[in-house]
Amino acid sequence: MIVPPAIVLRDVGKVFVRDDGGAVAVLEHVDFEIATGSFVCLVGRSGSGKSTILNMIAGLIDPSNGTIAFADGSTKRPRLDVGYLTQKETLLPWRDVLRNVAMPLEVRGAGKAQREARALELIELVGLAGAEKRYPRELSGGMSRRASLARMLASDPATLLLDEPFGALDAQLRGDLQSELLRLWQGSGKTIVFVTHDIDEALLLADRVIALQSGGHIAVDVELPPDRPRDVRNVRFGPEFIALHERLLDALTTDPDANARGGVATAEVLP
Amino acid sequence: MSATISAVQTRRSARTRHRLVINAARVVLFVVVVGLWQIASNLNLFDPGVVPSPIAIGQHLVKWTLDGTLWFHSWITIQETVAGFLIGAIGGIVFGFAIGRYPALAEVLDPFILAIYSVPKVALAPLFLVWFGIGIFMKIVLAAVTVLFIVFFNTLAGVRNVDRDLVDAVWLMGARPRDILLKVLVPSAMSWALTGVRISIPYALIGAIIGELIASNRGIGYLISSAASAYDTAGVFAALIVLTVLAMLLNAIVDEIDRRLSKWKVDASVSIRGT
Repeated sequence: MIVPPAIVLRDVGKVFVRDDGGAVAVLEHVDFEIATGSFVCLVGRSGSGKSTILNMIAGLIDPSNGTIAFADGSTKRPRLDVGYLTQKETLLPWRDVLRNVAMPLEVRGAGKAQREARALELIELVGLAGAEKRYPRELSGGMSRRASLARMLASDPATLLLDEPFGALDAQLRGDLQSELLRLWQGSGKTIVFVTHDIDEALLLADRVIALQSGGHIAVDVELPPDRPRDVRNVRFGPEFIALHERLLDALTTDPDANARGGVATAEVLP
Repeated sequence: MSATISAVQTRRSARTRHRLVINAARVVLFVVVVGLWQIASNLNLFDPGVVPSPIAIGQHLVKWTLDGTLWFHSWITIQETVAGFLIGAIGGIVFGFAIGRYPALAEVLDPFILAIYSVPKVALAPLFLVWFGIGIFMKIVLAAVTVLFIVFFNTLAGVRNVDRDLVDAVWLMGARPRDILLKVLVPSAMSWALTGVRISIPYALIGAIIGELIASNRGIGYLISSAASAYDTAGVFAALIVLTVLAMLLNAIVDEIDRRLSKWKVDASVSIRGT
């Protein structure tokens, strides 16, 4: 049986109109497929259009041309089976953790008892047990992320879109949440599209890394060995890792148009 | 362990002692000022027609309390304030949401609303007097108009300042427009609206009192102006004290509302008074 890809982007382009009337082509001819059940990282510098791609898959914006289709052949978005976690915190400040996590079920009309039971399960799953009555203002950065993760999982989406979800956390916490995400994903059969500017993070998490240069041009598209579960420390110092890291870093730094756009997050210096 | 507990206890008892000292200092300050004032009055340093003695003011208050004057007039003012406040606050929230939902309409109305808002509401009192007579209704309208604009502007700002990212996040969950209105826009704007409501409470009292000062035959404002026109300064002072107590009660209500609203807004719970 052939499983159709979870997401198919065909010749996708996006043109933004500036306030002064000028047009900027952020993406041109973006063409790739995301296999169902895979963990794909999109890496790129600021301005490479990686977040725009995610926003389009989610359905927040429409492509100017080309199509985005899902496993069932539909191009209609937003979809209820796609969850989206942005870098910015979007927990509702007037709701406690429990009611925030239950929100997706609430808008889908689930009963109060049912959605709260499910929310409590998820809160436990992401390691927030005991914090369900707290308001977002009373949560640390890591706890907010965990709550957002739980909220995204509440509707049990088949596809998860994550846009630099751990970018604002310190290295320690980021490591914790990366492991947490892998733990939640492994064996779930869910498809993950993860956007980051951190090559290390991509190599640690993904089955496949796509490096984007400006305009959404794919510079590198590489499958990683399926060596799960991966250990952060072992992965980082293996020769394969170092070679791949070099290759991706090259792809991002030699981007002809990107130099004027902003920095690239390089990894710590490798020994 | 026990050292920590006793340290905590020491700190707590230090705080209790501090509060005690502050309160004692307040009582002493009050007694000294009023005492000096009374002594100065006894020595005829003040013209009693200009600055009455504390005892004369107290006698007025006792007399008004006993013959029911105080309660009668206070009750009128409270009714005007509360009715004006409720009408203004509800109207302000309803209009704020109604206009905020239609950005184009809000843009068209902007200069007109701003023009009306800029007019000191006190200046409308004579007009309201002509329209609504000298009865209680005119004071209610004056209080309501004052409150309405404050609440309206805050609500409108709240609706306009809803975080787009929150709306997007909830929309992606599959929410219908009605869900977004009730679960995102309204609660988000509500905190702004309630800030407006909170600020406007004292203005309701101001509106009612000004209405009474301009033309009336009852209420605390009337008490002040009738005592003043009879050159009864002790009566004016007594009425002002009643007004002060009423205003402080209102402020206590505002503080209580603040405390309840601050559940998810940690900042707001920090009292500026420090007590």
